[in-house]
Amino acid sequence: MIRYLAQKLVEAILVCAFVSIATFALIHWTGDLAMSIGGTEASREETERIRRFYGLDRTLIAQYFDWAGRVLRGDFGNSFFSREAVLTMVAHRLPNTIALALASLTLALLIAIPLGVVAAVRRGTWVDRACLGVGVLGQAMPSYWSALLLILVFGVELQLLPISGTESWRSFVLPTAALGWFVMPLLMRLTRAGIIEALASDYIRTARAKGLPRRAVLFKHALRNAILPVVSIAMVQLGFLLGGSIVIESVFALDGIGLLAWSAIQRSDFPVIQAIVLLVAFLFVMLNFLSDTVNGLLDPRIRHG
Amino acid sequence: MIIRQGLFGMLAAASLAFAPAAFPQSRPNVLNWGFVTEIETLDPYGTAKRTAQLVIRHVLEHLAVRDPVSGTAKPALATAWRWIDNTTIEFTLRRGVTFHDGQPFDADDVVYTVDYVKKPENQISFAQADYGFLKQAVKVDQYTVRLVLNVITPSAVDRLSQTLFILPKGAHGRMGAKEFGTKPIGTGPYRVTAFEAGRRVELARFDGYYPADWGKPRFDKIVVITIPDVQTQVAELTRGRIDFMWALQSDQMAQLKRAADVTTVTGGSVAARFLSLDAAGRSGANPMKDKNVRMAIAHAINRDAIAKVLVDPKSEVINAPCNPKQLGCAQDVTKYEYDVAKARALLRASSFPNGFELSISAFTDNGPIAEAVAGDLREIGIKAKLDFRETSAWVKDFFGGRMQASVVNWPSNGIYDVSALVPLFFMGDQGDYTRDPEVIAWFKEAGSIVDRADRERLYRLGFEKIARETYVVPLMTGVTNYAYRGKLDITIPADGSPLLYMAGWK
Repeated sequence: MIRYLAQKLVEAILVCAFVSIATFALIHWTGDLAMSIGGTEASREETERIRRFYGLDRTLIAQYFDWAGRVLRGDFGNSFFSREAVLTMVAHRLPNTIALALASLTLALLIAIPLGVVAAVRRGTWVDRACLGVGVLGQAMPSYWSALLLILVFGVELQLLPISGTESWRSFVLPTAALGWFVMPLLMRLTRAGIIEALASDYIRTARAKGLPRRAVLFKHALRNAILPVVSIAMVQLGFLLGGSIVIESVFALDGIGLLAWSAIQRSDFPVIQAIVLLVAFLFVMLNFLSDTVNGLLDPRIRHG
Repeated sequence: MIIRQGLFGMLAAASLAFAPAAFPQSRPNVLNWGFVTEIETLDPYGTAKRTAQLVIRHVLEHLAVRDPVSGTAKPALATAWRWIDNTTIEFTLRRGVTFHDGQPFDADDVVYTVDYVKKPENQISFAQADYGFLKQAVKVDQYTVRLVLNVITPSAVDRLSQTLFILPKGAHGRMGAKEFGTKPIGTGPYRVTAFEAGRRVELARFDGYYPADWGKPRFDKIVVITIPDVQTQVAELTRGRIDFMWALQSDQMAQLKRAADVTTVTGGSVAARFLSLDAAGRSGANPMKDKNVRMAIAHAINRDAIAKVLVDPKSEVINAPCNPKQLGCAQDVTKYEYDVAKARALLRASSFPNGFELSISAFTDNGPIAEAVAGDLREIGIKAKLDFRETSAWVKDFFGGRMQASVVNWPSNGIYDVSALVPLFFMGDQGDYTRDPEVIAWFKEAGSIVDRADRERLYRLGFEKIARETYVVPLMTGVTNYAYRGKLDITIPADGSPLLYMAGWK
């Protein structure tokens, strides 16, 4: 088991390193930080002076190792634009993104699992088709579209809920609904498929033959097994959500990681972009690592495979 | 993003038509100002964002202020000025002015500010070009200061109504730039009472403000709320959470015209939009080097339709790549009327009779314009397509000399003088795809003399040659759209920079 964990840890570190290198290269190929800082009205000489001042005239490799060395010492640097410490900026916004991600995932699971179970139990009936229809609608509808519908109905028409900002828990209701609606279909379909497969298995037939009540067969035996892949995928979805939903955070003016990343990308503020990407990669890897570890504990074939 | 706006437009149009009556305005004397830009700092020298500087103008002031209607520089912290020689201006400073912390303002603060912006170690790297024309400030007496310029800059006073925020020598020196960026102290009509970076700025009226020419501040409070998505801002305006927003697109204006208790107004701008063509071949051998191709492109674009439909009915087609409001912007130069047959004939006569592939790059709201231009060019056989970029990616390649054609929208930092535009695009620097020695020489001379008639003559020579050689295709002037609630008493500025401290509720 220790060997398995060590192997996964090395993989996690390699993924983070690769992601940081790829991001670093992409930022430098697509934008020019010296021009962003100097403004478009800066002359060539001024731009070059800024390039020298910030060490941007050095090779990309030198710049990368300089940045990586400081990160290893816990120094993510300052934003080139606000001059604020990057870690402070990220830490300030992370709670909003975490709150949105957890609320959205919870909402999605609360809808997806009952719908998936009902669809599986009533397989082939109009109930099943209706549940699948809801799933298809959720998958087909881009999150910005559902966000705008929610704004117009609950914000503009009914004026029930705030549509921007993070002033209270009420500000999170509409973004949570928009994001949860987007995440829900996949989880619902997985639940449905898992229950259908479980209901057709031998141990369920045995449980039924033993005369167990229908409810006990469904929830104690079938759902317990069917839920495992749902939990794994939910972990992955949580990783995505913690990465910040740029569109949802932008539409609802929710000051989170996604919005911060978006504004940093627009002006090539690479200390901020790098920190966010590294954080998201780390969270993602950790969630996968957690998922792999749990799977490894539950299924010896995985850890010895 | 464009698709998203369109979808919202359709929804909003249907929705606003049946929208309930807007919230009644139980009005404390507060203005809620919707803002797209994230304001990360209130240090005027720590941000290159012009829009963020609009908020900072409520707190810190310049020596002069531009009259929103006439566009001329009027007294602010300086009550009078005179040219001592071609590179020295003497300013008489206003007496009895205090900073928000009660400290008096005088010549030492002006000298401190100029020294501060000119020192490279202060990392005043943002929009450094704004201060390139300044050399130093010399104190004559407590209320007289001379600004010495690096080069002859006829537009210096106009520039000083847009740049050089006067810092308090004592407080700024003590606090440092970072702390000053969160708790700035100025002489302006409002003082900062709360600041959340990227989200919210709260300003309260400064009761110690001097009697300015435009009057006294009238709001008790101004709250600047950042909402990055314009469509969400539109929705917030109809709900009444914000009272004022600006820089709207024409389709958003159309939506808001249906909303109850919302006023929409279209105002002027100093911006000019043009299609840059790589006539100098900076991006390598390319069809733009062929004059017949450039002329074909100029005749193929229905600029009037694009201006009226995609920008605003008030937008004007231009013949030179500058705004007619700007000094030196000669518009009576060679014109290219919309004539598809002529465009096709010119293309047939060029080295590319069968057309060619062309990417037209654009960023921000230039995207739809570039798309329309590409559509017009496809009509004459040029296989044009839109190359839409994020701002930083566009800036890198455009100023790196790697773009054959690009739609450029230039606000000139609000300066009413073409000297705020030509050095970037026509004088051999990073944005110049023309590289014409004659044009460079004329513009250089025009920027180094003060005689207005001579300057206009030289700029005319330059713009005439740019037009005759079709180095660029001038497109249209910009407009600025505003929307606000209730009975806001505001003078719509001619330059597109709203100064809300001059406004109030009727």
